[in-house]
Amino acid sequence: MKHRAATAGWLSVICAGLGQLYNRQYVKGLSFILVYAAGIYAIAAKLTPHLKGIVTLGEQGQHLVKVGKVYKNVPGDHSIFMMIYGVLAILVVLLFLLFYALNIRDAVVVGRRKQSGSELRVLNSSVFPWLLLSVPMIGVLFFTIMPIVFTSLIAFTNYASPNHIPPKNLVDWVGFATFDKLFNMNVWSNTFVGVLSWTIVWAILATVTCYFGGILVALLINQQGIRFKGIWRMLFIIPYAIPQFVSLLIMKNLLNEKFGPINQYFRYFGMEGLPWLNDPFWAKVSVIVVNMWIGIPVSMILVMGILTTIPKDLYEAADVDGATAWAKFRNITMPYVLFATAPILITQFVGNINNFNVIFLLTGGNPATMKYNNAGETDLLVTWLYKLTLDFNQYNIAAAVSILLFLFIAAAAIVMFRRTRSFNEEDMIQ
Amino acid sequence: MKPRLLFSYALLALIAVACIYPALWTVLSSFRVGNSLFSDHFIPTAWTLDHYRDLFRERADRSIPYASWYWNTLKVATASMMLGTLIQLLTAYSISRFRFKGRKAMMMLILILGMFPGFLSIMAVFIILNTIDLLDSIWALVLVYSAGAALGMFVAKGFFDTIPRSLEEAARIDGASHMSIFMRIILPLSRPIITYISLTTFAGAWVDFIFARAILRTPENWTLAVGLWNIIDSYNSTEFTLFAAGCVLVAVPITLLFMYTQRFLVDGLTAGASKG
Amino acid sequence: MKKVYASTMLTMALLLSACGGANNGNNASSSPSASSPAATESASAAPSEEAGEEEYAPEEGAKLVVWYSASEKALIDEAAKAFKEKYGIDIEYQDVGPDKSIEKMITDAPAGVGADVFLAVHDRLGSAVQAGVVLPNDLHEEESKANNSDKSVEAWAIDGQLYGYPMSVETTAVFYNKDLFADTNGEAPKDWNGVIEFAKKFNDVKAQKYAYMWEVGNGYWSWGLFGGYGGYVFGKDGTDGSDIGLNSAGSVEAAQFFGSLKDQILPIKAADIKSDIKTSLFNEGKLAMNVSGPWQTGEFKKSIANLGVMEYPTLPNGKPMMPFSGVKGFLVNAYSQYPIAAKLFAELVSSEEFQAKNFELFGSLPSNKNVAASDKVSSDPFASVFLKQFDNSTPMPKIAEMNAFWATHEAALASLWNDKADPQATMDDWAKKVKDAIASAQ
Repeated sequence: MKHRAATAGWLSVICAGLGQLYNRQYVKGLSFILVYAAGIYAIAAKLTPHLKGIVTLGEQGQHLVKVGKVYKNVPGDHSIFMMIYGVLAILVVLLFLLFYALNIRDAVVVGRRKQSGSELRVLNSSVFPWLLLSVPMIGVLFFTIMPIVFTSLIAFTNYASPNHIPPKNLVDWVGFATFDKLFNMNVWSNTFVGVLSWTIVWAILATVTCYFGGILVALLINQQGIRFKGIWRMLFIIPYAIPQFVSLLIMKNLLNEKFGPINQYFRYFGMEGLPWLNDPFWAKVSVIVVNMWIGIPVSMILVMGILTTIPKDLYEAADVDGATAWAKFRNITMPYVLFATAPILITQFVGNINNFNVIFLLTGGNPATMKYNNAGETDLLVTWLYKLTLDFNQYNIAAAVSILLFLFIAAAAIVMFRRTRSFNEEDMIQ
Repeated sequence: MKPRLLFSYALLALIAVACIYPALWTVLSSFRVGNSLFSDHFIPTAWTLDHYRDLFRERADRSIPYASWYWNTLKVATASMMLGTLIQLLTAYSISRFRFKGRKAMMMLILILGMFPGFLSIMAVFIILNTIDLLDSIWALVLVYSAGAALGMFVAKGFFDTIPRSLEEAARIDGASHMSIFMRIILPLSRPIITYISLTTFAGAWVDFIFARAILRTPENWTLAVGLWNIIDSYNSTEFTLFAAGCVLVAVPITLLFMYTQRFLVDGLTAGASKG
Repeated sequence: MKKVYASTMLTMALLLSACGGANNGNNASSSPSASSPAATESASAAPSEEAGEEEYAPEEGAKLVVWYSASEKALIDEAAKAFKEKYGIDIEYQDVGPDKSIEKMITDAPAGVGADVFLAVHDRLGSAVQAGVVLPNDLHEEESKANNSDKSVEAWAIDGQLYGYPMSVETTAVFYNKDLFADTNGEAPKDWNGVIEFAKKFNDVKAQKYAYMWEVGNGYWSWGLFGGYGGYVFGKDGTDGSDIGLNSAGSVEAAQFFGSLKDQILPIKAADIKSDIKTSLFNEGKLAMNVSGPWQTGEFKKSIANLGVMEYPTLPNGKPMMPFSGVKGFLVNAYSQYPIAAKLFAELVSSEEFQAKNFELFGSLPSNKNVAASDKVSSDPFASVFLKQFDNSTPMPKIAEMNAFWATHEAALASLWNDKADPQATMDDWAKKVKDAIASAQ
């Protein structure tokens, strides 16, 4: 009896489920054996070609064969499909290995418990969250993690127009050549550095302007003596409620230098108007201003919510001390609001780095410039990536850039979030 | 006191004009005769309802199945709202309520994955959907939106964190299971956050055109955002007033919905911000 | 623990089914060759009997999907009716415009969701052939070559191999509003000096009245000047990607003239001129001469009482302008399950009959010689002008390197126009940029 746990464990090493049978868990044991058999069969029979495929990425592309008078299409290996199937196959293998490892652990744990004669306690509370999480996790695995892995792999291939576009052409692994090109080939590195710098400047300015703009508007409405607070608030929510693809495309027309109504009003007052979207500098100003139009309502709603949570007794105490309105604002309202909304700054900052809509719909990255490769003056990394993939089919460069972008965002977010209450003090709230 | 208030009112009025002006301009354009958004006059000199009629009329020269786009969008938005909200709540609940191995790592993973720009995964998603034969189906769109829903769980988690544990512990002593605690105690308390999440997921599906454009291949299956985008995104597209009319019909319901539920918006955003 | 396993297994099941599906997908994409023994047989039989297309019967149970622009869908409806009568095959129409069809086909064809037959513009043919998603026009090569103008056939061939079924040609010319030329009996000036003279009288920036307008910032619309001065993008009729002619003497001379025009006739920044604004001004009688294409003829006829169209004004050096032109045509998806039926439909819809119909319905300019020579077309005051301009045009280069041109044209033209940048330096820079962009994609 002494080696019960070890025996069960070894049996499960030989074949999943045997240990469980030995532990007299018959149903579990049998189902494990079935899964094990199915898994081995699937890997051996079905997945091996896909696993091989991700290594070779195909040997012969699609081509045409002339038969008599007509050409016939001979579908060949599609490197990109092969890569995705390969990634899927690897996922299956990994999951199978996870199952195998858990199976051994289970056999040992149950065996040990039988050994010590303790009751088979239902491990409910540690399993329940995983059960709840399993469905979302599957979704995330297929539609987020898998695509990320796939994108990362693309960066190490030569998948780019014009010479390596399947199905006719094969794509090959090229190691770090893409990164080498991105950093050492002037055309690419200039663009990358230029676009990256503007992305950072934009993210900071966009976040700060919306944040403080929101606070300002909220305080404006919340002043004592202002009437119809609800109506003001409702009016100011409008920009947030209109779908962005509508409002931004309209804005683009409003800001047309010659024909847009904004400049027409300027001219009505005898001024020349501004080159809103035409001048590199003013285009940058315009996107930030328009982004305020969209972003301030959110911050405003937030701050208004927080204002209602400030304990009234703080103000009452201040009144007793005879504090002026300004002193109350500076010493109670402001610190409270800033403290409560600080975490949102981080989310908004990251959101702005990835703010695709505003740039894509408003300027499309323009004004165009000769300085950059496939990018304009107001292009952010994300919109540049979009152009690289959808317009210019430079998939490998785009993948390399997105890896770098992702690493940058992830690092920044981790560092900053580590300091927020969400991670460190969450159990203290209750 | 008086001049300050006056100044505040002036400022508020100015902001209000800035907020309404583009919307009003769109609405007026949709009644304008002709095809161009550009005009010398803010208020149209000649009014017409033709653009609205054109949206629902069979036309020989151009097929714009606006009604079916509308219906598709409603289906996609409603289905992704229900599925996405459920998934997001479950994720947030389990992360907020349970202390299990790998929890912190999981949170970090969700946080980081949530920052990956979604459209970069389009190509892989396209091929996966093609493999399981779901390309060009609006349900594929629902699947994609819902699959990513878990990543937005931080707002809800922040909210759940504020519900006192003592409530559940009392119920557990009475022998309630995990599921019944969730259904009977947590959910009823979470109305504001549920409304908030439903609203944002609904709106997200309502306006997305990046994924929708990649997945939906035939015009009959398009959603409004894709269809409207297509009206003006062609080298010889000229029907900008038609686009404006289409936009008005897209924007009105969602704007009203936001107005109507703004109380929940305030609650939801506040919960997410101060605790999340 | 049980539940962890349950979810693990569920995931695995999903993955397996996905991979299983993958196999199916592969089968599906290879099925065209397997499921069309008829094609193979008839193909092998063909050489022995003096190749007539009668032996090439469409595949059993064929059903075709066609991509075509939505605004001209009526033509496909008519052709589908005729095709159904002749072969009993149904045609399903989908809205994909010729300007986007090839890009979409490159992703959709191997995935098995592309149309069987689609309309495209010839300038993207290089990418389509490079990606291997189109079949050559083999069955009807002789007819296509014989019936269509040489320029349109040339546009659809690469290395001597014909791919497309030419359908219509497209170029740009100058519409004008005769009522605004009362002094000259409704005749617009025929050369640039005349246009500049006219602009001096007519232009009124305050009232937004302009003499002559085109989408300055776009290489497609501005090329007429460059081509007219003898400039070129790529050498050897646009097929040699290593010979970049953007800074050739002619191109620089054109750039000089181009840059001078802003102050003389059109004081607007390049990016502000949008097609809808231009159209709107023209319709309101505020724009006298409007550069556009035949697809707007119908629209302008409705709004302008006395509409005229003319070839581009002659350049100051006496030479005609040479705008870019495009040839639209049908292509057959290489992954089509019914390649023979698809080719038969492409042939039918691009035939004389339907090119004539296309002209009747939408004013599209035929590439077919007979239709072009027919009374209806040659006596049409608009179509005849556009066809004449087409003879004086450069088909857009179709090599993949052209992407580098389209990636840079806006920036280069904007700096010439808006900033009046030095022509030589800017054109040198542009040429270098195109060269770099080509190199960066290698």
